[in-house]
Amino acid sequence: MRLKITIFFICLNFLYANGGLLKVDWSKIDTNQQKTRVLPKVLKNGIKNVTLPVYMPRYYIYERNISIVSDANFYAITVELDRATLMISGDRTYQEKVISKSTKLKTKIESITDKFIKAEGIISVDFHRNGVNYSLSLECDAPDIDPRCTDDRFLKKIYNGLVLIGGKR
Amino acid sequence: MKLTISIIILLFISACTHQKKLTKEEKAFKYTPAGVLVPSNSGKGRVGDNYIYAPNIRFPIEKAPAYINSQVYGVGGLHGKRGGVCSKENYQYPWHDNYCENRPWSMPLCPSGKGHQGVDIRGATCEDKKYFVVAVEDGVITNIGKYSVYLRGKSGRTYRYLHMDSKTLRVKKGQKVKRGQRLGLMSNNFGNTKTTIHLHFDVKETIVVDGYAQKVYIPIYTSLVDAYKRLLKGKP
Repeated sequence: MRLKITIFFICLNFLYANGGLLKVDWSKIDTNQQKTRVLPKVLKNGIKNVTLPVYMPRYYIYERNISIVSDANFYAITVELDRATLMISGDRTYQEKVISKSTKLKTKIESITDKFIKAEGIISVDFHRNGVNYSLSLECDAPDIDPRCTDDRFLKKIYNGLVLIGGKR
Repeated sequence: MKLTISIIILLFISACTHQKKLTKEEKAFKYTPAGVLVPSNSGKGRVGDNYIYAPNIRFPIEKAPAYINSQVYGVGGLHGKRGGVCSKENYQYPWHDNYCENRPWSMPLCPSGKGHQGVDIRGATCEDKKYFVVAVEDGVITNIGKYSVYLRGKSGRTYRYLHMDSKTLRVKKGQKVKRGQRLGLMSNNFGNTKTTIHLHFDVKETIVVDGYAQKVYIPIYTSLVDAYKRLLKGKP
């Protein structure tokens, strides 16, 4: 009986499972950009199984203090700067799907893409590229006095210097 | 027919008598509805949105009691009533949602388009480095900043924990963690900025609206109420 109930709930769970994978649009991606780049081992190994375009700030590719956490559908690269932490992540997964009757919610959600915000002392930007989502953020040890975190110019420069370093189709 | 009715009555009585009695903590727990911000001038929340966006997460503080209320508009806060931040009023039920509380930054899911992207949680008392903060689901630690810890759960959600004491962190970048595993101790670490002893907890997930996907900070209060009830029941 208990088994039957468990099976019932598992089935129910699948019916309401809302998550899934976003489709990557590879058509507009210039892969030549990545072919010419020789990457440090940590990045090369870390991104080899990632199935979305991997972007990385141009200025920090050869930085020593880089670490990466990744799986097939996600990556997060951290660069330890002097008294600050820079992070970029890309993600193919989604958790909710909403079909909205009015365009209001879509417009609201679209409005935050590429918008730089400073929240909780951390400067960040979320953006949508090639069908998937990316986040770039900078956390300073002294968020109120460090000029890299008191306004968004520093992070904007990094954002404008993002380059494609890999990703498996 | 009579037999069937008798069986139904018996089953009903049995179900009623077997209901577990509420513990003292469960009885004491009170919370105001999601989106009702206190005080009322602290912002406009998502009133009526009772959807649990992150179902079945574990409560991020290891042990009850813990208190969700405003750090900014609470007693001793920047815009709060006069008094010390350790005032008794800050450490009692009912909980108050503070997602969407007045903040200057963009938040598409807040009625005003701006607001607090997470909730603030206090421990049982005002003591520093006493209460353990834990993983809300199985996952991996993707990043640790000066005052932040990022956990990517198996669900794909990103849970962000702010203000833990960095010297007491028990996890490292890239480390896999289990639901309920200790991450560190609640504190007031905010770099060079002043804050109260609390945990700021927020959750980001990707929502697809009519085919357009974007990562957003989701309303998390209802999920935390749900998680806390399980914690009080002893089934976190």
